[in-house]
Amino acid sequence: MGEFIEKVVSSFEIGNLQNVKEVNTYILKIGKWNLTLNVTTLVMTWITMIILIVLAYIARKKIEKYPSKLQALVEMIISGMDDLTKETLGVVARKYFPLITTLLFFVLISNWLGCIPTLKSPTQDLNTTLGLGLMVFVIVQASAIWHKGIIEYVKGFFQPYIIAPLMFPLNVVGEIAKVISHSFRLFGNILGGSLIILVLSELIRYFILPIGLYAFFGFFSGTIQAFVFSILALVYIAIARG
Amino acid sequence: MISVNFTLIMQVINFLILMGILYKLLYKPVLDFLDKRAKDTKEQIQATENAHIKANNNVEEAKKALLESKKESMVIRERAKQVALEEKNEIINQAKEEAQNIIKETKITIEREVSKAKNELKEEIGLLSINIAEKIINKSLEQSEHQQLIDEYIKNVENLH
Repeated sequence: MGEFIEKVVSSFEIGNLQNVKEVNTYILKIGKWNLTLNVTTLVMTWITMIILIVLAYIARKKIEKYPSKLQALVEMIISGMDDLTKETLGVVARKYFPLITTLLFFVLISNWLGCIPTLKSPTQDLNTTLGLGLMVFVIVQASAIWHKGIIEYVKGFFQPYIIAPLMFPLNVVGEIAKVISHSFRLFGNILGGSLIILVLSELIRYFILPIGLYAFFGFFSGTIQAFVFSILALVYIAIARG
Repeated sequence: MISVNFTLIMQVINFLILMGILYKLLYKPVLDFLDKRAKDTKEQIQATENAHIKANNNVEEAKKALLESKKESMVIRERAKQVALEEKNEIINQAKEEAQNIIKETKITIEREVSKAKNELKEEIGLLSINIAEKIINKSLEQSEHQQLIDEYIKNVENLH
């Protein structure tokens, strides 16, 4: 446990190219299993979670009949996401609303955290994006089976039936490709952005903090990517349900 | 730099925990609040619409009542006019009748007076005739005296009228 805490502390050291190459890992031993954990990623995820929970608590506490500015903002975001899911999924929208909205908030705050020097966005780690992508994939497939039934779901992989033997592997690859594109798009964009910032910062020896780059890759690109990630999850679910 | 390990599972677990907490802490209360407010607003709009419809109905009813009362007042006025006209005609007729009665009575009175006068005249003439006859019989009259008698007679008759 002490080693884990040391790793946590070391994850906050000033970032440079060396830190990007070397991943701060911790080996968790459970029985005969040696489970590798990326400490920085986990710590940053927990920070993201704490930020979101605190914001949610503050927003929840301020809910009144006559809304304040904060409440109006929260209402606008929540009702906007509610409308978006309703337009895409119809009557079952509320079942998927927490997933889509949490994806947006989590990825958004994760991406924004990358703007703060010495902090690393959890979405810079493939484990985060692939984990979320796989989770969405499982939910999409489960949703399709639940909505269409197992027979119709399997039949869907053979469409169009004229060239069914050829279509089945193509459709399977298509589904797997969704996970890869979904995960790697976010991972690539965020890691790429942070690498550009680090390279440029290294080149100018941190003499001038590249604020414009942080603003673009962190806030602008981060916001776009968070939105794209959650909307893609929503669209995949809608397509799977037919 | 790119390695997939147990962090992936941990991240999914972290995400699911976060989703659960946010659902309990934020989504459910805010969505319930928004739904309630939307429902209340809908009810208020419905109530306002109902009140508007009711008000419109009341206005329509009032207009109808006004129209009916106008009609009624017109009928009453017409009836009053008719009654007044009838009364006027009756009064005129009565007046005419009374006037005719008065004329009739006057005529009767006049006729009576005339006949009375005539009778009186006749009596006077009779008496005068007798007088004249007496005078003629009693004394022989000269032509001038005769003429005088006749003139007197005529004069008397004129005086009677």
